[in-house]
Amino acid sequence: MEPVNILRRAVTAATRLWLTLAIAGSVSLAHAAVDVVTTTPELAAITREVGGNLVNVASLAKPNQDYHKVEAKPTDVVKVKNADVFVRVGLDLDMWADAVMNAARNPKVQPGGAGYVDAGRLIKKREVPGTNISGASGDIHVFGNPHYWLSPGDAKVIAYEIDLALRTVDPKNAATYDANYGRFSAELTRRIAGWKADLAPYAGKAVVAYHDEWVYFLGDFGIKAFGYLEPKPGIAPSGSHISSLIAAMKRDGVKAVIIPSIYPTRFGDLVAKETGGTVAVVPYSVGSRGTTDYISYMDAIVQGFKKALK
Amino acid sequence: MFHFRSVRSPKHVRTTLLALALIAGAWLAPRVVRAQDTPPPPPPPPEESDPSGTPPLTTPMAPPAPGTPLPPSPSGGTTGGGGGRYLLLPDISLNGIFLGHLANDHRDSLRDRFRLDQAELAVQSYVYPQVKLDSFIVFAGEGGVSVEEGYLTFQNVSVARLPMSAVVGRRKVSFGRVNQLHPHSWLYTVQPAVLSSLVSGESLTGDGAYLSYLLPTGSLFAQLDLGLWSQSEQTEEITVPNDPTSQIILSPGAGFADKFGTARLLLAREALGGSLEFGASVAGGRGAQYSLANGGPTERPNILLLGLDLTYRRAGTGASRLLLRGEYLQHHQKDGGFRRTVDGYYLFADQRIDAFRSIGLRYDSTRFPYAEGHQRDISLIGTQQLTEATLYRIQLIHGDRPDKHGFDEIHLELIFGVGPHTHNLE
Repeated sequence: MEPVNILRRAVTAATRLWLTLAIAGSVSLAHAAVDVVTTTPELAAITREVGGNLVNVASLAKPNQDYHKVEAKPTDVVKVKNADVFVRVGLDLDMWADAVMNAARNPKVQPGGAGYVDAGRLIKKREVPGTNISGASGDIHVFGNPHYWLSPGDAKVIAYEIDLALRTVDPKNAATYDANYGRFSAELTRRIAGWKADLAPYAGKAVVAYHDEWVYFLGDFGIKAFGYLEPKPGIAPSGSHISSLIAAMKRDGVKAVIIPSIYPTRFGDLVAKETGGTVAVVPYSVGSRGTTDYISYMDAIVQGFKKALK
Repeated sequence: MFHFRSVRSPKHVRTTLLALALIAGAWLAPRVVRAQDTPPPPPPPPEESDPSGTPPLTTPMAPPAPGTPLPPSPSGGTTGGGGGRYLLLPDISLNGIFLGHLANDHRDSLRDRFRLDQAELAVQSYVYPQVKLDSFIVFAGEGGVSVEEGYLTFQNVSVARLPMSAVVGRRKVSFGRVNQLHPHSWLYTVQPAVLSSLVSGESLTGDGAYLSYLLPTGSLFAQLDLGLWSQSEQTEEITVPNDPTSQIILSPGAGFADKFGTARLLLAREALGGSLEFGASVAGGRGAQYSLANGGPTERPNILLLGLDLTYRRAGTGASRLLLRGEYLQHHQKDGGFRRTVDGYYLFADQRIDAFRSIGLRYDSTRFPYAEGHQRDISLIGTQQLTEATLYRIQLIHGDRPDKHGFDEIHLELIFGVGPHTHNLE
């Protein structure tokens, strides 16, 4: 075979290969999903609402895992290393994620990167300490109470932050993300009206909870926190504290006890037995107690409060 | 001689034009798509948002160019002025360990005593974008102050165009599964006998540097650490007891007397509903000269330390967590005709029951690199956590060692901690 033919065939083969790769690359890019890693299942659920089938979402914390006590693992590093977007609660709740982010060394999702989302950025913070705090205060978060995802109103703010990040890293689908955000926000507005109607008869009433995590939720529905089974946030319930709590509940006629599904119910059961009250176990996470998304999660919580307050 | 045809048939012309059009199309297509990708303006923030928060983005933020230095992590947990500490103050913390010790071995000098074992003062902060300083100053209970660790971590360096992190300074070296943990982070009071015997009384530490590279292996975590070190402290003279019943054997550990190198590969992936982590470590260098009753090296031996470790952990409901871990180590000495190899291992199970309680069971087996004999023991460990940094613990040990058949020990530990304190991923 003449060298010119060899040359021509080689050029043709290379061109075909290049075209094949280019087309395959375009096709794969067109269908490539945005990889999102969140620190909690609730943030993952809200991300799925905004991202739809354009995103792959993974949560570092599993459903029903205490978000204060998550043990960061090397396998988490891989997820963050390959992520396009990283969504965290912030407010010092998920500090365990910092070691993962440092180890992953993914510039896209480091603070300042296009894919970094501190979902608490625009939240109206509650219980921001106004005085000096120390170990005697218990597990107090210096930037405010971090459990803001328990407010369905604040879930809109979280969704908005996620929308901003997704449209930044994946601009060609910005309109889809905006539409998903708008749909989810409207659905929440509609649901909030229903949940408010459900809990309206109990406005002004008080509940006892296990941990101080309900301030955002209670603010949305006009319910008061009477006390907590933990004497201080993150401190184990003690006999003397439970005794004084029971006495105070009897005095003020408080009977509703709310226990998220990760905590033991024995203290709540004791309090309810002594006060003639009702314990309602509510899902701690999206994914626990049969909940599958943020709406069903919040719905189960509202029904739990309704049961305890009846 | 080669001749290119100047005139081509129309078929060839069409084929060529088609190929050129396809090439041009493929080249232009991404650009056209990008031009059409200009996103619509973002939606307004919801009325529930805090207008005093950071203003939302109105235009897409461009990702940083490769190699662009990144700002340090801003979270309060990672030091550097977060956590409400707005001044240019580093994170400062203090951790202390009180130990109580009961034993049936009358030769044990620490028997029936309760004492301050050590207090660790940590100063941690970013000193430059992506450069973090960690220093740990230890006040020993019996007196004396030492810099246990003091190092700079360069979180994003490029070596041969590969993204790595680098650590320079005095550091607990990357060897084995737990060598880099500080005693207040241990899940037990007394570390496994094989680590004390073959690695170090507390941790193998050196002055030097290491590079850490995260291999691009998809969903498999694979990290390679390579380090070069010199002994951070004067090596204690190795004395081998002639009469093993006269004193409890206190091994100097690996026995590196000068420079040594380390390499560690850690692999991890999700499996069996949890995380499965496998590590392989090697350390090599020259040791100190010593003599055994039946010979010993004539010069400073070459020492090679090998380790394999396997960990499985699975998170449960709430704060519960199951951890299963095994670690096997081999210590080789070689000097001319002198050869000596000893090994050992431990198996450890730890169940965190809830946020406040955990229970552990451990079996240890080891030989000694600089003495004869074999130690085997079993430990039961219970921990009560008051806060994340404050706890008390009890460890009950029963076993046999060369100098004492059927030894029993009770170790009581009280650990306290105040202030922001962080460690790298274990």
